[in-house]
Amino acid sequence: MNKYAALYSVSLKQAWAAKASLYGRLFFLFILIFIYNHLWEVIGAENNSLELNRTYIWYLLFAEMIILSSPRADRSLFNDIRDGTMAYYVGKPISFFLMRCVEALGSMTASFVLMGVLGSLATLLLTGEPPFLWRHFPIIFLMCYLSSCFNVLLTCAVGLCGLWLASIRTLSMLIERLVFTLGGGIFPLSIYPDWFIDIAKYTPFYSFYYLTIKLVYDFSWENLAVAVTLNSGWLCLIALFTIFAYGRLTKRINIYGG
Amino acid sequence: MDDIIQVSRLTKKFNIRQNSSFIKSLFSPEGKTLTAVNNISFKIKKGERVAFIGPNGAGKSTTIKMLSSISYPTSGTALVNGLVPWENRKKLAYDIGTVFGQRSQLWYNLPVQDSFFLMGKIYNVDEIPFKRRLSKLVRLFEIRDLLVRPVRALSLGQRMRCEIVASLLHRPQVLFLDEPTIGLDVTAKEIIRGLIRRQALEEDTTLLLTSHDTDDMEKVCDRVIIINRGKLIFDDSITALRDSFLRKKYIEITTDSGQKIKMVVNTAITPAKKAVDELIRQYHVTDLTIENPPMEEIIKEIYARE
Repeated sequence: MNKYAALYSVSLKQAWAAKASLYGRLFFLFILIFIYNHLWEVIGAENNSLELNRTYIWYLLFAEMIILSSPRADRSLFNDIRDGTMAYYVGKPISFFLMRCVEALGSMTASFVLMGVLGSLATLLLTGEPPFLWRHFPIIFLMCYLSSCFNVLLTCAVGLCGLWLASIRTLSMLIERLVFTLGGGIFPLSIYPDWFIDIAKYTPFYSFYYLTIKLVYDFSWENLAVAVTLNSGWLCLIALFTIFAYGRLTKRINIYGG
Repeated sequence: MDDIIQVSRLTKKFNIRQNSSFIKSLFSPEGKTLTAVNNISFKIKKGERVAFIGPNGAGKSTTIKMLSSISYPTSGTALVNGLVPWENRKKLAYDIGTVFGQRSQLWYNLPVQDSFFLMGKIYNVDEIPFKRRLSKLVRLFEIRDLLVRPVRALSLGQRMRCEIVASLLHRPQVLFLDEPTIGLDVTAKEIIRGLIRRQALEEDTTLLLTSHDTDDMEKVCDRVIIINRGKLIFDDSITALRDSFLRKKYIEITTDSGQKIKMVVNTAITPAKKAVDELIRQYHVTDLTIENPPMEEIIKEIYARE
């Protein structure tokens, strides 16, 4: 584990050093919050529900923190498989897949923490107090961080599909859209019809995104327990898939030419 | 001395799909088999420095990839330090080091020393032995000034020196070098060759070096294995190869009027020095190069003698 911890810390250091990328994501988050806040202020004023606006913007902040902080690990992993880079690591005493995951986690953590601190401050100034109690903030923050870790694992798993697919672009796009819809990445699932929510419940997006982010406006120990249980189950499933796929991958390696 | 590498009847075939249409390939896949390595056998003793050379597409890199556990053979066996490489990947990793001229194992955006630190962690080298080892290699390969520079900011020659250091941090017994001088200029090539040889002699490291540059083998190795179209065609000492096939020297001069004159000298009849002296006497020479015959010519000659 020592080697992965070292990789994580170096990746984190690297991500902090790459300020342009960090501030770029942060700027995008601010723009999103500003636009949606403005939009919902107008709608809220018309419907006399400014309280709903405040709740929604805090929900949006945590949803976007999970989505925006994740680096494009799927593309880099796919390229590593296709150009043979991965093969050169097969003979090293480290799992190439875990190595790339940990590097992506380090990069994600830097963005997530920065967005969490500065994004919360900006949202506080724009909309006022959050819908949750401040003492619950560390738990919600940690749960969202774990969801972000899942997001990284999911993107890495998509990248690993390069073993079977000539291109992962369609799959990546599909997963992104599913996160936005079934995971409530833009709007909470409660605004969708019941049949849609019933479908979403059978996917990992429901628990990892919606149930987790929902803690922002509906925090209870019961909701927390449900989210933790479902997330653990899905995490095991995704981890099993990646172990299986990576095992297959390392056995099928063929490198042509020098 | 014990054999640290034993290769017996090693063969690697690639199946290449040839169907042009996706639908057609689903129902009647067509393809051809390409034999990259064809039934080769050899042994290498501990501490030997062996050049594994041949023209492009000869099967050098494919062999090195099998021996360094990157890919599987189609048939045949091999033992590296007593282990079958493709069956003992993780275990063997601690005994071997690999340098691939066209691939980097360093982290592109990190300072060189961070990459070394990570390599040390990957190979579970303890902190104090790691520092001691790094300090020795840094001195040996003269890279102290490069340590704080990001890998992306290094020249190819500097990067190659760092790549070799990275692959030696865990004290491997065997070092596989696949085209370590590819793309380097003449000066950088000379430096790299000198450093590789110095390290191997100092630490008794077994070297298997692939190249299509005959100078690499002459400057670094004692023994040469030549492979062509997957088949082993020559396995002897560098001296034997030099006496038999490297007698020709290609001399090219540029005169002060810009004229280029090329000549081939058979050193068995006329020593290279005598030929050069004669050229200098006859022309105002502004530039002069002496080269070994290209790989293709040596191979042609080996076949001709057979």
